[in-house]
Amino acid sequence: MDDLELNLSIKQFKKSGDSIYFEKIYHHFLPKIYRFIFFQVLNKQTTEDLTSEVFMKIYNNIRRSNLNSFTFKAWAFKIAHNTAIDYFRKENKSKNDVSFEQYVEEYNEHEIKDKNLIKEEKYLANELLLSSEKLMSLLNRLPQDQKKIILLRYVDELDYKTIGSILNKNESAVRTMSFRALKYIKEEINK
Amino acid sequence: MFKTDKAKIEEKIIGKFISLLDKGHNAEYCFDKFPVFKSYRSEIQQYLDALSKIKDFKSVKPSKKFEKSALEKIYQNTQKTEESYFQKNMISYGAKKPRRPFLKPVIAFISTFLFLTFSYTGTVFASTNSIPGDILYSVKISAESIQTSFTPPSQQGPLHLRFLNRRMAEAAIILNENINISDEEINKLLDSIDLEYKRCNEHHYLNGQQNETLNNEINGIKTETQMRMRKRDGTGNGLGNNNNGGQCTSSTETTNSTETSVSGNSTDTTASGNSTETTVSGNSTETSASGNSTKSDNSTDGTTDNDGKGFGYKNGGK
Repeated sequence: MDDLELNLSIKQFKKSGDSIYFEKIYHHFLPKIYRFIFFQVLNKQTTEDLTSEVFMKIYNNIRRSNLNSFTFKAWAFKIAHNTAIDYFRKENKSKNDVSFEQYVEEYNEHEIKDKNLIKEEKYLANELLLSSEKLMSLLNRLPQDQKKIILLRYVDELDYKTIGSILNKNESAVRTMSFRALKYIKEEINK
Repeated sequence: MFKTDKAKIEEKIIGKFISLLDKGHNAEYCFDKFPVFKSYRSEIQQYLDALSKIKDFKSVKPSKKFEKSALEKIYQNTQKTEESYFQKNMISYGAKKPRRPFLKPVIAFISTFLFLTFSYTGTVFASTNSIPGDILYSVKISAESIQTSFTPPSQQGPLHLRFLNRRMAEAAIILNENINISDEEINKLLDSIDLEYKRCNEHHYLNGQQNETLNNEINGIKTETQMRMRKRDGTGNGLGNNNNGGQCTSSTETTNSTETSVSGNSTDTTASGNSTETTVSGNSTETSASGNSTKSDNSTDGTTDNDGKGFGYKNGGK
C-alpha cells in the first residue's frame, strides 16, 4: 500500500465508516505494529494482546483525528509505543522475561497446528531461527531507544523525522543513534 | 580514549554512505559515483551485511489466525462501545457527536469580545460628525478622552489642537445653521474650547502667531455665541435685525476651515449688559448695538452686518 492509497483509505473510512477501508489499513500496518511490539516484549501472547489493543485504539480514534498518510504512520506507531510503555509500567517489567528461542518454539508449534499456514512462512521462521539468533541477542543488548530506531528505520523503513516524532526525539539525534547502533551491530557480527 | 583522526574520517565517510543509501541510492551507484568510498569498501561492506541481516526481521509476522481473530475482536468490541454510547446518550447511530464542552465558554467569550469591539468601533465611527445635542456626541467625547489617554505626552499637543479645531467647527455649525441647543450645552462647548486651548498651550505646541490667531478665533466664536444666546433671550434685538433667519454666508467656510475664516485679526468685540458694540476695524466697518438700538456705520463697504448676513467677525479683516 503506497501513501496515496493509504490516504484514500483513511479519508474513505472517515467519511463512510465502511469496514473495508479499515481492513486495508489494518492489513498493511498489522505486521509492522506486531513486530514493533514483539521486539519490545518478546512474548507472543503479550504481543498479540497489545497489538489488538493498539488496533482497537486506532479504530476508535481514526475518525476523530485529522490524519493523512504521513501523520498516520507516526500516530499509529506512537500508539503502539505508548501501549508498550503502559504495559511495562503496569507489569513493572523493565527486562524481557521470555527468550527469543522460546518465542520461535511457540511460533513453530503454532504453525504445525495451523493447517492454513503456507510453506513460505514456515521457511522464514526457520530461517529466522538459524540466521538471526545472534542478531537477536545483539539487538537485545542495545538500549531500548536504539533498538526501536533500528527496527523502525531498517525494518519498517520509516524516515528519521517520523521516528523522531514517535520517540519524542529530534531528527539529528535519531540519525546519530541509528548510526551508533548499526556500528555496534556490525562490530559484534564481525567479532 | 580519544578517537584517532583516521577513525573519525572513516566514521564520517561511512555515515555519508549510509545517508546516501537512506535517500534511496544503490550501493554500487554510490561506489561508482564517489570514488572516495572505494578505499573503504571492505568496511562499508560489513555495514551492508549487518543491514541485510537486520532486514531479516521482516519475517517476524503475526499468524493468519491472529490476524483474523484480532479483527473480529475489534469489530465486536466497537459494536459494544457504540451500543453503550447510544444507550447512554440516546442519539442515533451516525449522529453528530457533541462538541468538547470546554470549548463552549471559550467560543462565547471570543464572540462577545468581538461583538463589543466591533459595535463600539462602529458607534465611534458613526459619531464622528455629531455635534452637541446629538445622542452620539457623548460617544465622540469619550472616544477622544480614550485617545488622549493612549497618546504619549510628546504627541498630545497636535492631538489637542485637532480637538480644539473640532470644537470650533462644531460651534460654527451651531451658529451658522442656527441649531437650537440648550444654554447648558453651549456653555459646555465653550468650556471645552477653552480647555483644549489651554491644553495646547500647556504642551507648548503653538507659536506666538498661531496662539494669537487662535485666541482671536475663539474670542470671535464666544462673542457670537453670547450674542445669539442674548438674542434668544430677547435682550439682543439689535443683532436680530442683522441676522435675519440666522443665515450666515460664512457657514460653510467656517465649518470647514475655522482657522482661515476667523483669521482676520480685526475683530474687536465688546459686549456688556444690554449693549453690544462690535467693531470690525480692518476696513473700518463698525457696528454697534446698544440697548434696543442698532447703530451701523457703513463708512466703507458695509458688507457684513448690514446686509443681514453673518455676524460681523468673519469679513472684518479682509
